[in-house]
Amino acid sequence: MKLTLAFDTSTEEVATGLGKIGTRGVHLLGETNIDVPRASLTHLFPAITRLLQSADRAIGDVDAIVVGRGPGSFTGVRIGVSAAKGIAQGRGVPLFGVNTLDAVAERFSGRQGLVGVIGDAMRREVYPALYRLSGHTIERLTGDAVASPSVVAAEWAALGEPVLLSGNALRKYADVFAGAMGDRAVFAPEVLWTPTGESLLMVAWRSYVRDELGDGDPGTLLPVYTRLSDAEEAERVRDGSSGPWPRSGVAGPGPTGGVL
Amino acid sequence: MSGPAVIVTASPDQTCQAGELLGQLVSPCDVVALTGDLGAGKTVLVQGIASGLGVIGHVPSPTFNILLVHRAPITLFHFDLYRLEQASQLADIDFYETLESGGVSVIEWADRFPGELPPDRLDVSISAPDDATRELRVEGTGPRSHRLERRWVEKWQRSTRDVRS
Repeated sequence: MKLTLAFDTSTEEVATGLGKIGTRGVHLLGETNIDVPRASLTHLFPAITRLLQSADRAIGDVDAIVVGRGPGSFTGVRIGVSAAKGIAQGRGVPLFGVNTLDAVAERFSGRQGLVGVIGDAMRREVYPALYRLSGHTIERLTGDAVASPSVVAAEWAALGEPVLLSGNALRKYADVFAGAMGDRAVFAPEVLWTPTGESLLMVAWRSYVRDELGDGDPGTLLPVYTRLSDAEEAERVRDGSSGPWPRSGVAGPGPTGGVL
Repeated sequence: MSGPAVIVTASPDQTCQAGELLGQLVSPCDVVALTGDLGAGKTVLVQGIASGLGVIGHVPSPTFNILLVHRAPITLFHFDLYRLEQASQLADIDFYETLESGGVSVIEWADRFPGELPPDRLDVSISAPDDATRELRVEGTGPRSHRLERRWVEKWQRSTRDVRS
């Protein structure tokens, strides 16, 4: 059983969790989830410190780090991933990435049917992800993408069955989904729109039991962005890899801890 | 289609007063896009907006910092895009999320990346026909900013009428 510290700052929440991941599941030792819009940099490290203290552990006891690598707030993702890389590198422990939208879907574990998570991508766009839940399994049906809310709403309306909707983009676009999907749009309560420390650990556990967590190298873990940063763009030009954008508009590798 | 409304000011003080009126009218997530040559009075106008919002303290030009944040009942995000070289740097400075984060954003040198501005914003272009006079061409680009444009120009006209009478 590895003692794992997980956190995510891709939404307006700072979610942190501490738990032991084993083959049979997660033994949660503690979590803190605080709503601090645009202030995750200020609150992340104090939250981690408090979490460790409340569980009577020190950072030196942690065997692995799990970070939500987006998609989400551009700056939030950067803060979370760089903090995680720093801690993992400094402590010499492995770093694993999980998809932030997966950690939102995880909050509905145990339910049946379709769950649609829409993260706020700003600039009138969303990050949609669709899941099929059954028993305690969660199957992700779509890859990472950026899309207009009305296009996503129309696609999900055409599925012919109810979709339980979650994700922080509902704050802006709930009416778009209600309009397009009618009765088939079922809205989760707002407290279930963001990842939690526990849900991050649970997603990591699902990858772990499937042997899909990745190699844990903090140097190669990448965030999920919608647009490449300046530095990456310059690197692409240097590499000569200036091919077309991935059709999804999402930079960063798909599978590294990103697939359930 | 009506063209842009024009506010004419006769001194930096008046430009500041016009800004102050705008600062009293803006609401969270409003975006004001400023254009005009160096010395046109963009920063003076923003100082007025800041005062109208209730910002306490000095409001310097953000040319060096690119973004300065002033806390007030509604936060003022004061951008100056002059030093940015390409649109992709806007993501690096958290431009898009800042605009949607519940404060009022005022953007100097907004015309550097016209395609990156939000669709509904108040465009203000300042020109200087002579040393003292400034012409502020004001044009909303969507329903929300149209309302703001109308209210600002009306309030300005009322205030100048009051001074004359």
